Amino acid sequence: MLWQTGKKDMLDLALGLMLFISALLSLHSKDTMKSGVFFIIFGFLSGLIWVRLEAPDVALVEIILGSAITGLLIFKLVKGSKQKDLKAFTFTRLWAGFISFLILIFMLFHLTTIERQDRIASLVFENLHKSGVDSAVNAVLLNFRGYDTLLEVGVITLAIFGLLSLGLKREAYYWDNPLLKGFSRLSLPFIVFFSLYITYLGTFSVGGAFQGGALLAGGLVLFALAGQALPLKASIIYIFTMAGLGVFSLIGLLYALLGYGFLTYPLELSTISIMIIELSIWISTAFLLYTAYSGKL
Amino acid sequence: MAFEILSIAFMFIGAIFLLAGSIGLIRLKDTYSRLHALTKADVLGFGFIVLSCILSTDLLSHWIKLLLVWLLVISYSALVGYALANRKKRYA
Repeated sequence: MLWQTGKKDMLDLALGLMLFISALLSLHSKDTMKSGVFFIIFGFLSGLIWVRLEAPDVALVEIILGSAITGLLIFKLVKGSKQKDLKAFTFTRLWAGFISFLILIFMLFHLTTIERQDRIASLVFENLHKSGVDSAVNAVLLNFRGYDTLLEVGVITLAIFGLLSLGLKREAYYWDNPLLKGFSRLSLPFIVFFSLYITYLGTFSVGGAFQGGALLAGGLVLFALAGQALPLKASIIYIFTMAGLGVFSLIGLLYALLGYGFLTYPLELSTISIMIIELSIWISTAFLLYTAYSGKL
Repeated sequence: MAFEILSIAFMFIGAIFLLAGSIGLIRLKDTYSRLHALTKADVLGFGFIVLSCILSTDLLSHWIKLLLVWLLVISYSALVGYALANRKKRYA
């Protein structure tokens, strides 16, 4: 009952309620810009909920990607478009609502019938010493289920290139201001350093390549928001964007050719291979997201 | 003990400043006064909260982290306030 819940439950309840309200406002406000603002609030609140669920790495990605970069993309889409109402038609919305409702029913059913049983997590912790990293999340991501992550990187790469090939010839939003320029220049080195640190932290604690990459993408976008181009050639940015997929599949193929099997690292080489893969995913995530913002290679 | 009381007091003062800033954001009439209320009260309230957090731990690493967070937040707050006011002035 509500009056028996503790303070922490009240906090969770308040967060959930605020999430719900922001989602509702984002869907139902007339102005598209306002919808975007409420979507950013929605992303930030769901990040806070991830923190409450003790998943800080998901929270990091959710706040950076779900609210900051997606918000920027929404604003970029809205800005300068003559069409005031960018929202879907009633029929599409009904369909989306129907499918979401089905998923909700399924989740509720699943929640009520779930049994406490031995999860796969204990298997992960038993085999952690064979993975070459100390963090369970990254052991699963890059060693035990490396194939999934490879496909995931492929999906991100394909999505961004699909976005580019749509050819939205809309100029990236920027604000030409000396203060913002100075600030972004001052903060970019710290952001690069900190994102590398988060990537490195992924091998033994909370963190990882996607988190670090998303953070670096935020820094790069801040740099570009001040109307500055990155001092890099287009070909180098292209190489960076493809680095994750390329290095990951090359290492996988290398081990396959050496007779270990695709993406099956031998124990003594696993830490260094995972480190190399993480670095490549870091740089390519960052530059893929930057490309999604700038709209050109 | 004295530190704990001081820490709680600072947290309370910080919360009051943040609350005042939020009320100002909602209640004041035009953009500039709203921004004024928000950014000023934000910096002060957040500073008190950081001070209270510093008083409640003994670890030097926590102090440095909290000070860095404080520095980041006040610089962002100032920049965002400037950006909004500038936007308002130009495209009023």
